[in-house]
Amino acid sequence: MNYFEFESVLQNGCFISLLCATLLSWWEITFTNFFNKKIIYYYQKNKLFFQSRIFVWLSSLFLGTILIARWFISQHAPLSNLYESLLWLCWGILTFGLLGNRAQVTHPSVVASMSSSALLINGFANLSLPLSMQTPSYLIPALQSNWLLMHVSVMMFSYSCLFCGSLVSLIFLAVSQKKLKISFSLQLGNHMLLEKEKNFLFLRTLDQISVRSITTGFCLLTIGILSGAVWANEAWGSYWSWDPKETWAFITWLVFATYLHLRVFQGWEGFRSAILASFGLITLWICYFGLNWLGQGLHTYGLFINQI
Amino acid sequence: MMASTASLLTPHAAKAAQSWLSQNANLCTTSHSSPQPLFIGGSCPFRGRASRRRNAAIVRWDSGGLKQTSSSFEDICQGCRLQGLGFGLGSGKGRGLRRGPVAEVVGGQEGAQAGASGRGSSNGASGVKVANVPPPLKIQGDRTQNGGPNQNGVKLFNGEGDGVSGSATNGSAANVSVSNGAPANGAKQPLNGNAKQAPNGKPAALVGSTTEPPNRIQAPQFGNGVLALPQRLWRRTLRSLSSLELAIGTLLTVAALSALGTVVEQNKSYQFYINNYPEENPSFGFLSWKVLLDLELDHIYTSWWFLSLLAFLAACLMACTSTRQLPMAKVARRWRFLKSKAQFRDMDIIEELPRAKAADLVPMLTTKGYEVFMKGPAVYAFRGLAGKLGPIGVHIGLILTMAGCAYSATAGFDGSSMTPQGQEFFIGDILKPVGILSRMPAAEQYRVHVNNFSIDYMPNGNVNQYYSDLSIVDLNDNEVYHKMIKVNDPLRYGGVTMYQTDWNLASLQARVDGGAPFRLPMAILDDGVGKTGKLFGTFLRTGPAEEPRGVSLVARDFLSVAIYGPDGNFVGVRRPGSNKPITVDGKDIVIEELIGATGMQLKYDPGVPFVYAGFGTLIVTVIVSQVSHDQLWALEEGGALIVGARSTKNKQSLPGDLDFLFDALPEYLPSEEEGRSMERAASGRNGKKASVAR
Repeated sequence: MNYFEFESVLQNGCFISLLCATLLSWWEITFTNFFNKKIIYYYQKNKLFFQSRIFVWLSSLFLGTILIARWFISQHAPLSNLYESLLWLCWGILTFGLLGNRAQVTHPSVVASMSSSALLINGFANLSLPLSMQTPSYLIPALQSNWLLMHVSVMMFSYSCLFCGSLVSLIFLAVSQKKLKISFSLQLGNHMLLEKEKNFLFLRTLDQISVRSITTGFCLLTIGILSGAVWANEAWGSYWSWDPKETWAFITWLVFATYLHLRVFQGWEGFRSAILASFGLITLWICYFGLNWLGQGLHTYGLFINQI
Repeated sequence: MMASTASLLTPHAAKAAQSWLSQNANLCTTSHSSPQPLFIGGSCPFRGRASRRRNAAIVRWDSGGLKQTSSSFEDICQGCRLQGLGFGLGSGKGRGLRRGPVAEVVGGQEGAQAGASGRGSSNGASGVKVANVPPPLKIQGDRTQNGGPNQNGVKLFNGEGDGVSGSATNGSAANVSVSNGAPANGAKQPLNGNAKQAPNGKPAALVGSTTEPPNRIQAPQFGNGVLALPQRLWRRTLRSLSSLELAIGTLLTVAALSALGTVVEQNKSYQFYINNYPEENPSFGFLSWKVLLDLELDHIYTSWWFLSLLAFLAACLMACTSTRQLPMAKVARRWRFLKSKAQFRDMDIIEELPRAKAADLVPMLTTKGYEVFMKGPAVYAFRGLAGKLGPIGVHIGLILTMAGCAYSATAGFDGSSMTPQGQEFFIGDILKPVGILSRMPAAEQYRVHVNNFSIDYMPNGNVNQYYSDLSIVDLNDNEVYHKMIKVNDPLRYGGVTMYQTDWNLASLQARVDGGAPFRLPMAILDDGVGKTGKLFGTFLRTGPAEEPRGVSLVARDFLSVAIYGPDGNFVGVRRPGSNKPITVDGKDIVIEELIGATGMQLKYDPGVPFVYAGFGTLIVTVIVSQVSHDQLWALEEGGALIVGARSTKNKQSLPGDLDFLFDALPEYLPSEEEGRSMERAASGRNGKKASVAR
């Protein structure tokens, strides 16, 4: 078996397990909401619930293997073009989206959003990008540097964390269909919770997940932008040249800084911060993905418009 | 308020505390022989001048065993004195600034009383003075008010409690603000509206935040001297600049304008804008090339309004850091004891544990990494203070970075060169000043000699790397430095850095009909930006001088040269150095060599150290800011222990962590006799707290 066969097996496996994860989590969401209590109890008792996580870990494993194999084959970190960075993003979403959450907190809605977006990203990368971009190849001179691993990987991890946090905020917006001022001075007792309180708790959990992911992502984004600036100084003599990609990364940083500040100092928790995080998601996506349609600047490694 | 000694410690707890203290003797600040004050679990954060002789005595180590005393309030050093800090934007609305818990307010009152004798600026506007202490908040589900026994009392702070946090307070916070002109003589005047109800019906002093400590600005006292007016104006400007809305608005405006710069092409030629933004059909109805160039939209990032906006942002940052964050850091380090159950509100967790002792909490908290302070029945513990100080570092890092960038932009040198192999240039000729503070570095006198330029190709013909072999030569033609540079590996000498950025084919060396070799200069036919590569060409004359007749030689890279005949037809391809002649138009041409030119970017940037320092600060402090600042208050009252806790980043796991702690707390079941004496005491004395018999 040569490398390409090996990789295609892994890719297919990853895709299938992502598909299973998505479908299973959708099934689980339906179960918790619409079926009667007896069935739910049965599933909970037999620990059959919330097992879509397993498929997510499986696909994360597949993707990790693919990346490591690529690294080995091409002798450089697999971060040289859009295809490879999409794979990293996928892997990051699956791993970080579920890493920060313990078992009891990983509600199927969170799993559903992570796995479906990873599915779409993976599908796009494998099916829509030109084959020339998908094959591991040599690095151009500008990328032949140790900074490649440092800067681009940190940026991809930060994109994953921010993406996860913003996705969870979207779930929040979907679940809370009205404005909810969530106060966190809440102490639980041992009594049975009402439906309303359960919903409240769930929303609060989502809010916490979102803020922790976004905070981590923000730290990593800072480090990524700064390492990119230092690399640019080493390579081109200018640590900031208002390149579109740099500019949009800066804009994303500003938007998420606004998110953190308004959250902490103005008490914008709950609904309003979810709106902000969704806006941040749009900015993030423009920064990472949308700029490839622009076609100019120093970051055009992912340019595929001309090749399609 | 002196509590009786030893009455608060059961023998079991006393032993535990004693053994802990002996094990952690290195934390004691003084010797054990003489009764000196020390702190449990840490040292006084305020070892400043004011506190040297006035270390707040919380626990006294006595030769007879551990005793507890609480010093009177006045003994607490100046730095630790509970102060209410005032701020006022003049409007008194206090929008966007958070309030601390009521403890601040009450402490301020006491502090004001104690320090009312006009003691210096730090005490001057002991801002938040309440005219009257508000009634305790009616807590939902508080069964103690019904008089019945309460088990692990659970306090649900939703609904009612919601209104106290966050948004609702902003309007009502008006009542707790202090105007700038707090009376200089320290008179205890109630401020406007303090006694009134807030608009939403809650008593004024209940406003508070769930998450953040007070975010206040010192309002020092001014005299009536000459500098009073400028000082007051300066203060007012600072306070307006430090408004959060202003900063966020500026931030988002910068973001939006930066985004505009990615949509409108930057730094293109005049003709480009004339072509693409025609006057007859302007984009959006008004954006023709004239408007675009007038608004400086072709170079947004260096336009005066963008730079002013950035400078304004920097000013907001500096104002915010100096007026808010630094005082906040001071406040965050203070320990604030809560003196009554009513003051336990606005926290993430509040629990009441019957028949537990505060002293038992202390060693458990210290093992968890808290710094614990104890004063009588009250305990205050915190950990992770770095998380509170981190954001200050972030702001400082940002300011440092911006200062470095500004310095670079005004004091740097820049330039690019395209030098054929074998030639040289003066550094001073290439470097051009960037701003008004630019001073030419000493390296200007040196020459850079390009010894060789080569391209390393990969098997499939793609470029692997560009190499330039450079020598730095001084005025006496001595080589002082030598390096082979490539992309991502520049040459640094004398503060000047040279980067490999570009290349050209400079000339072609050929021989015609076996004659002497000669060089033909090559010209760029195609810039190749965005496409497959550049194209260079040259013309070899084969006819007499009067006829424009010759052979075209075209090359993309060092690998091959394409030859075209006089009529433009393709004749063949030759690899330079293969010595294989090609016959065109009756002549035998041997292409010997392609000589390249290396394109370099030279830079002299004195601001880089500052920028890098700013970067380093940012990286470190952004990570440090993630440390969670956890605070915990406890109060023994009425035989039960009330514990309140608050966390900035750990809200989710706080209940679990604390449950662990609470479960380990021992519960002191009263003996029959004690129980009877407690009942007797409670019923016998009105208004006085029952003291637990020994």
